[in-house]
Amino acid sequence: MKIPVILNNEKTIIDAAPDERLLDVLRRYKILSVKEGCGKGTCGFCTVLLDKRPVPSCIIPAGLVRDASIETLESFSKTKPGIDILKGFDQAGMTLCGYCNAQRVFSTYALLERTYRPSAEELDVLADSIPCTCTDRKTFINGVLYATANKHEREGRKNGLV
Amino acid sequence: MHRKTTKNRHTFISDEFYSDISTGDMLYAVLVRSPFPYGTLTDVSFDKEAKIPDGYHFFSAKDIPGKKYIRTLGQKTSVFCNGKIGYKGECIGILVGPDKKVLHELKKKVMFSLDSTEIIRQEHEFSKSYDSLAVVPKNGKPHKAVLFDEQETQSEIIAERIITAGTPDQILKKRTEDSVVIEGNWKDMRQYHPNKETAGVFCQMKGGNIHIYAPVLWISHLRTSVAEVTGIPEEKIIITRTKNAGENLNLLWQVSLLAARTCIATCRTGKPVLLQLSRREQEQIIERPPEIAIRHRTAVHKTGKIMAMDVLIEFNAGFGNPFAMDIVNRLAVASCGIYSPEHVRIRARATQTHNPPPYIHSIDSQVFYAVENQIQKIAEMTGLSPIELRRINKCRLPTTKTAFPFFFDIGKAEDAVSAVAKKSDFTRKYAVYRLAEKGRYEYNSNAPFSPPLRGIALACGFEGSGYLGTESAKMSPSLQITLPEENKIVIHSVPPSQSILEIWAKMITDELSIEKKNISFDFEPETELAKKAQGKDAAQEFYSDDISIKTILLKKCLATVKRKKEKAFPMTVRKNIPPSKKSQWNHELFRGTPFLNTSFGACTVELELDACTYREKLLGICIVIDAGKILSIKPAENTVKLAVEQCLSTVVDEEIVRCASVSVQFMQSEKEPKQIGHIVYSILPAAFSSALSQALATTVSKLPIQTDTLYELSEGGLHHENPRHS
Repeated sequence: MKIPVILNNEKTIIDAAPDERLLDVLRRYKILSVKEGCGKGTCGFCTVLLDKRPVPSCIIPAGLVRDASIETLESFSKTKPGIDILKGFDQAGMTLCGYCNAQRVFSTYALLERTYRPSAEELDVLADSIPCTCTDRKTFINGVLYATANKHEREGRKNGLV
Repeated sequence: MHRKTTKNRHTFISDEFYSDISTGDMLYAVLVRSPFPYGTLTDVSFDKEAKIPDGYHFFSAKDIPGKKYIRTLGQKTSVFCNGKIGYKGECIGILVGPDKKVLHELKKKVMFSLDSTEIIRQEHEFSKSYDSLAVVPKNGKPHKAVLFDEQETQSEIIAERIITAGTPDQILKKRTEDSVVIEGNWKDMRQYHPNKETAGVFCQMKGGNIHIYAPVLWISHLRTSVAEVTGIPEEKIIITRTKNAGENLNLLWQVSLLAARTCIATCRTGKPVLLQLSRREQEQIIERPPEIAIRHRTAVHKTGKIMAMDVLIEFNAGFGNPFAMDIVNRLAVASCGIYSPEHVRIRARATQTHNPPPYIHSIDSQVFYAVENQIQKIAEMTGLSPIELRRINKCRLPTTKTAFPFFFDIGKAEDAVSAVAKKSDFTRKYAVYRLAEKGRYEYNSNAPFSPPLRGIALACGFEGSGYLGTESAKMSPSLQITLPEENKIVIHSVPPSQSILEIWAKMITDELSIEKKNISFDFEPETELAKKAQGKDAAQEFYSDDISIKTILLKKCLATVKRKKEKAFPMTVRKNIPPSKKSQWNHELFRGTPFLNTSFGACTVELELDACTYREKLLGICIVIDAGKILSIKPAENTVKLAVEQCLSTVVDEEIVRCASVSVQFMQSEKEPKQIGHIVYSILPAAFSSALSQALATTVSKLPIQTDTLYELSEGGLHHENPRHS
């Protein structure tokens, strides 16, 4: 089945069975930032942005993504929000294992889109949602805070005002 | 990153995941596994009515061109089971094809035939686990199910180590007013899941060679195994070590098994094959939790001196575990912890059962869990201070005359224990919580104010590196560096983790002013033939992978280069551990100093039990470590804190316990750096369960606990005589 999508900002027609997992489709197209994890949508290793929202691609059937915008880490890491986040992680001294990268980056992106200045509770909830133990919580939270600062600096905003 | 195109290279190191490798004509593979834990397989085939599509193949034992097994330390493991089934999940065959979904459908159509003259399980048990089982009927009539023979479940002891010093039996049998014998049974079955890429292999034939990409830890073993199974000469096997999930004793040899299976499929189909285990297979076969039960009987004098210790360790080694003896030895060595009683008997044994071999993340942690809980129990029952108990009984230096067979250099242990006690205010809190625990049964259980139940406990242990007691390798740790030019350095070793790499880079920059970008790694393990010619044994590249030993050797190499007045490039320097250090261990008598160096750690855990929700809340964890000279404090601290988080994720089943206040300190020292990666696993679980025991006023003797265990234990403690205070 031919399914038109916007994949990493390019109009693409993907060839997939309607019940094929989006994860398998993307990996078939050599998009390797999505990793096979639990297969149940809980671990987040296969996270992509579907219409700007992070979703686990292992439980999304390809048939549901017609005309949707799919953004993966390969493309997102070159965008301004992506650069803010990856720079923030680097500033905090984080070394990602390579398997949880998509989840950490996209969860952070979703949080920063939702709130201008994440609270301590929101940061705790975010850290709790990551099952991978390659990085300790404090370092990850520091990374998110650095990312927040980078975003504010880029946007030139202070206290939510232009 | 480290790929070289030199002609005669057979080993490469890569930064990518093997599961990310793919080619256009690649086939996927799934393993067909036995649904039964025992029995004799007589035939494996497809359902006669099933149509196998073109391009799909099934290979089993009869398709193996070479040997039907791989050898690991003398233990033979079948590539595909063909005969006696060892455990549920044992591999019987491999299915390959271009579509994973079709493969999973075909897997359900594989038919097994078992020997019907053997005693088997009830038929409904079979049909529950596997739909297409063909049971050969007896005398043409389907025979009645026979109840399972109990004898089949008896486990067989496959490895044992018994160590006796002094007369422990005599001491333990004697009952005097001045001493008491305390018994404790402890079980640690915590399961750690790294949650990373699952085990697997990618193979392809190219240019007459077979290329294998896998997260391999034991390269020479993989090469030899594939050569023997496929008949391909070793020099035609090119191995690329991909990113791996970390240390796992199971993966050491199981990757070779997976590689052998995948290579058979590659050779038979002529196409690249990718085999990746599912998450379920990874958890059930590769990461099965260990079952280690430890019984301690300790005779203690009223002054706190441990007079005798009797330790019995039962380790369920699963089926066909090649490291059973190594694990037993290691458990025996650490079984008395940091204590050295004059009279001791240690019996450690591994039993073979119909289970996959277990995954032991941190090999000493189980025995430390037992011995530290035992010491805490002694403190509770005798009223002695836990700190004083440890001070009186800590192990002696090798120069002291003692019958105890093992010596550990635990450095500033006493200072570390005092430091952690001071930092956590242990002495005062322990006394207060102990009073509260004792007086709990005098309170009115219907009191309107129910104070939170609190506990605090201390545990200590060591982490040894450069283990000399292994059965498998006559280890001679060494490290070689090459300076091809003045500002470049090549380290002949597998690349370490990022944090260690930072430490090494800093050392190299400080000593030789070489920048991090000019540091590279190059690793080519010797072939089995070359090793045999030199009288060496296998597994060297794994056992000499102790990172602290390598760090010491690297420091020596850099010092040698720095000292040379006239430097001629390329320059190669190689350093070994001096033979005098190795001779401190006598393997025949199983006595001496079993580790090249040892770090020491002490930990306190304070927690509170919410009397409304019956859930634990960690109030604070303090850790003090004596690990010699700390080359880089921040990464070391992060390593310990990460280990704390990983450890806490295992103590309660299916729940991650958090602690907001974790304090980590290192003792100042100029001694050589020591390893600290696993020390938290040895000390934190015991401190956690001892603190929980105090809070609940009943002994928590098993980890992991379930979320409703605390409610059951606390209710049981209220209504029964408190067993912790006799």
